[in-house]
Amino acid sequence: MNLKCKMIMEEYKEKRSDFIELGDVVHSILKEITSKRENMYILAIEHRIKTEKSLAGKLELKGEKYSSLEDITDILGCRIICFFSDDIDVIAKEIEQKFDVDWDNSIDKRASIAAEAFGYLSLHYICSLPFGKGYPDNICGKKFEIQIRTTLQHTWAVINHDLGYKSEFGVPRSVKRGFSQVAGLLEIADEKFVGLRDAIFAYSDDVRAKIADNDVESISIDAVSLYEYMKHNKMMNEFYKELVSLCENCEISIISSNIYLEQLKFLSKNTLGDLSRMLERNRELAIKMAKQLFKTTDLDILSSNAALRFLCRAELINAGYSEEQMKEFMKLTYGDDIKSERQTKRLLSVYEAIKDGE
Amino acid sequence: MTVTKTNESNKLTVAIEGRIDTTTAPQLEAEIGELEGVNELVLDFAGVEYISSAGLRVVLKTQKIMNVNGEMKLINVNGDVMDVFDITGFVDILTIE
Repeated sequence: MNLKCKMIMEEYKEKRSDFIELGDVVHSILKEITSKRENMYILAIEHRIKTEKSLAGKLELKGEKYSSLEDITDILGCRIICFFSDDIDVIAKEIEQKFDVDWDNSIDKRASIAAEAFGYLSLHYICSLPFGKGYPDNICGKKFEIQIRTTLQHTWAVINHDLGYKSEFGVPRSVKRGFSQVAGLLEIADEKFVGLRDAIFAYSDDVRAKIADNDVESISIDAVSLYEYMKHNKMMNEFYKELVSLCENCEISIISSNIYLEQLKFLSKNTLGDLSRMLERNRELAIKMAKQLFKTTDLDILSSNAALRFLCRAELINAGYSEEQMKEFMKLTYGDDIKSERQTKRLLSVYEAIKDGE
Repeated sequence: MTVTKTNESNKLTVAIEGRIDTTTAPQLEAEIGELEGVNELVLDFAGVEYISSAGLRVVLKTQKIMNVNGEMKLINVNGDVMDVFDITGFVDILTIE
């Protein structure tokens, strides 16, 4: 290693702690950028400081390119791995707002790759923290790299790298061709995933519009339609409000209603129309059951699934399900026989108490 | 309330005895801690005789952390405590063995 490279190594050792501090700050900013967007799915945000060994290796190979540590722009390397390819540009815009971007050294591999070629696709920004925005001076102006890529682009890059074909030289043509083929497949898959996500959003919008028009009769119950119905159906919301009013100052904890897909199927509720009729028929008993159970507690927190919970149990009673069938239903939630039997007995005793009180 | 913790590699078992109420829930939250590096959490409720809303909040907060870190399960939950998980609907998201 020549004297210049040795000086770069010394400078690296001196400033390594600054890069560690910079890494933590940049990581937090990237986390903030990606978490504020609804419907943006992020697999990982990662960062690393180049090790002494790795830097030494780089200088051995390409030392003549660098005259000081400042010329090496990936001492801190960050990566955002997102699910959908169109989110790359959304994230990029946010990065441009938060950091100073060195456009001369940044590269969009998606745009630079030949039109007829398939290979590494990723957006690489060389950035630095701006001065005068409240960040410590010792970490401002230091260049670092941010890579933004999809999970599939990441998979391709990792396998390509780990199989040792980082250099283009000496790679058998068949291997190069194979990697290009896979890159092409994954690029198509990335586009398909965007299409599928958009189709789900469009379906959600359609279901929501039908719920608003009270046109739910024929909508099949699935994860999307049940979610939208629980959130937007007027009658269900009124029922839920009544339920919540039984607990003083009640806090609602939102959880997924997906678990009820199986339970509603058990009760032969296949469409939102079936669910609406179930709500009409069982609302009164469901509220009485909730009153009976809540009166002995001082609980002030309920899950968003409480409405479905009480409705399903009221349906078991009103539709005349046998005790054995009730146990089978409870097993969907509780798994084992003992707990399911206990909950069945409890349901029947609550119903008996309501009847006795009338 | 007494809390006993057992660490086994990335698995943490927290055995709780007594009542988890407004007074003791903050203590439980502190005992469970940040859960850094824990990818399997077991809450042993064998000695828990009562859980209030404050206790539920601690369990839910812990569940949310473990949704990211790995897995969480509750074991030896008695009938009365199970009833609380049931009527609030939180039984739907907790793994109770």
